[in-house]
Amino acid sequence: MGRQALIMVVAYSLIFLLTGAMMSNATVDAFNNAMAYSDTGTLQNIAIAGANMAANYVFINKPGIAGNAWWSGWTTPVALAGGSFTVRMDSIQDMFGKWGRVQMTTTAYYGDSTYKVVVLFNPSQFSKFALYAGSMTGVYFEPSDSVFGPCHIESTLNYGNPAGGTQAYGAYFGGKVTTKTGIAALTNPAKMPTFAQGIQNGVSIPLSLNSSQLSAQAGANLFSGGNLYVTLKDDSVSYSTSGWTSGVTTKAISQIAPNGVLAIDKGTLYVKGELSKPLTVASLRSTGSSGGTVIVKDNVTYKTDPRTDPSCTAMLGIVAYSSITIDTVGSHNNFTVQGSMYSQTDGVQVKNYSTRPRGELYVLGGWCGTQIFATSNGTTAGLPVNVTYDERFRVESPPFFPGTNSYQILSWYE
Amino acid sequence: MQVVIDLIASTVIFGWLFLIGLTTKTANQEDFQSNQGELLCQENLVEVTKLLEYDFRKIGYCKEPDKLPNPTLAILMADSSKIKFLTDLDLTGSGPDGNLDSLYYYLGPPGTMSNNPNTCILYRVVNNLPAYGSNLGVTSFKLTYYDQFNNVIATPVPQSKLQNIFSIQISISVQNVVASALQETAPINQQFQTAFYMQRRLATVNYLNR
Repeated sequence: MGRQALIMVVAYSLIFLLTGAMMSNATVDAFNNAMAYSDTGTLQNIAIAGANMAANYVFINKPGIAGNAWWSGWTTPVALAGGSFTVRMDSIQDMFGKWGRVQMTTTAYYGDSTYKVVVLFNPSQFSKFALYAGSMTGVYFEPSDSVFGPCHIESTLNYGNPAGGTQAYGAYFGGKVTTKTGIAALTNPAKMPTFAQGIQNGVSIPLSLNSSQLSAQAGANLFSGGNLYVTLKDDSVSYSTSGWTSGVTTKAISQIAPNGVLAIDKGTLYVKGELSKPLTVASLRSTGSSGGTVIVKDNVTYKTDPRTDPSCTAMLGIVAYSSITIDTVGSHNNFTVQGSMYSQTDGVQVKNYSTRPRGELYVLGGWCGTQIFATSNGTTAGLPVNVTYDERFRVESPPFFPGTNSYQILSWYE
Repeated sequence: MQVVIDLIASTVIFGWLFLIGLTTKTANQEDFQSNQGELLCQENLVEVTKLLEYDFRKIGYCKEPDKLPNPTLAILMADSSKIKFLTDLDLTGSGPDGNLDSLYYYLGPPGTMSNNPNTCILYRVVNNLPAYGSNLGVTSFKLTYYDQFNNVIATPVPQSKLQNIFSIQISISVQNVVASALQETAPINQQFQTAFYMQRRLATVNYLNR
């Protein structure tokens, strides 16, 4: 009897042990599953934190641009959160074969697992802005204004309503907006603008024209003093220093501007025509107090519209040390400028804006300057502005267009 | 007489012990099934979550950024339980190829693939190819969209407001695809283990980087 009881106890114990072990296994598996998920999260966090630390280093030290030394990354593992990470920097080409982009690869190690974050940087150019203004003294964005694309105001962004205006909405900003010193209402009442992609204050990006770089890229064909009349003709340019019709020479862009830069120093550059290649026309002022102005004599357009033609490689930069002036044309009131305009010390102005026949200024590209000027009298004369952002300028720019001396992130791969 | 009493008593005691054993076995089996169900449910949730996190991190990503200069155009359609966006997927296992792909997530109707009437298939459609999905027990897949001021954007998000999306809240609940209660008591007593996941995240750094 005692033996049977013993057997029974042992048998029951075995059954209980077995079922206990099975249930314990399920619990352990669940725990392991949760831990594996947690470990993966930790590994990813180390990689992302490492990439952020390295990106911060890149933004502060700007390796490889503005005369700064190159940085190879952190090749010795950096310990973090029980794991470690390394960072490698590589200079790479874009899809058009142009060098200048930087690929940063952060590899995290945690336990026996690795995880990579690949960040692609591009030197940032002012052409990335649909609108850049150094100052808005005395002017403001009114409800009928809209900016589609990135916008930066290197001072205070002013907004307001014209006298007697009863608009229900304020100005519209479709892209990301940054300002140095915030926003302010200049009228009372004033409708707050809509910032569809947000607004960030406290960001300073001063204008920075590297004249010596543009001069160097213009090379032996840098013109000096006087006037330079340039007519864009697809992949060629006709140019003269004595007028539109006399002494005109026509050359392929690859000949006259092999690096994509056609420039004049201490003079005035007149430009018009149609373009099918990347080109930057610049009017510089290396010394002295005159010159460095651009006059857009007539429409400046691309041969095909990049908004509808994905193969369009035409890209125009109009760079001036001083003002860029939209001239008057007898044959038509509307004016079209396709390209990104940059004025270091002045802005884009419309000649006779308060008396010229009423038309429209269509811009496909961007508009950067120290000051914003009125372009019409608001009712009967001048050229109200219609700026459409050229989306290609988010990642590309006309040749040697002035840079912000910083990097921007193009892509972040995890 | 004493022998008969012993026999009766021992039979009763044996029967009692036998019943205890049976009950114990049944209870253990149900507990075991329940535990396994919870484990399965949790594993399924982790897998779904990993996949979603992997894909949502890449909204607006392209190895060749020139092909998607404005990443805020990457979200093509946004609704409360479906979203379609552009990204650059690793389709061959050798990394992204630099070509844009479309990715479409949507939740199928409930109760078509398991004996749990609540579960649905979460479909993942790449480049408008036929929809494929496996039943991982997803019972709800809810997406909530916020603008930059943290206001909820009503769904379905109209085309004109897709670029206003600033962050997305993802909520998923997963149930075990089979019940843990025994057949004898089903369907009244069916127990479907449930796990829930919710995350509020920026719609990836790519989406807002330019």
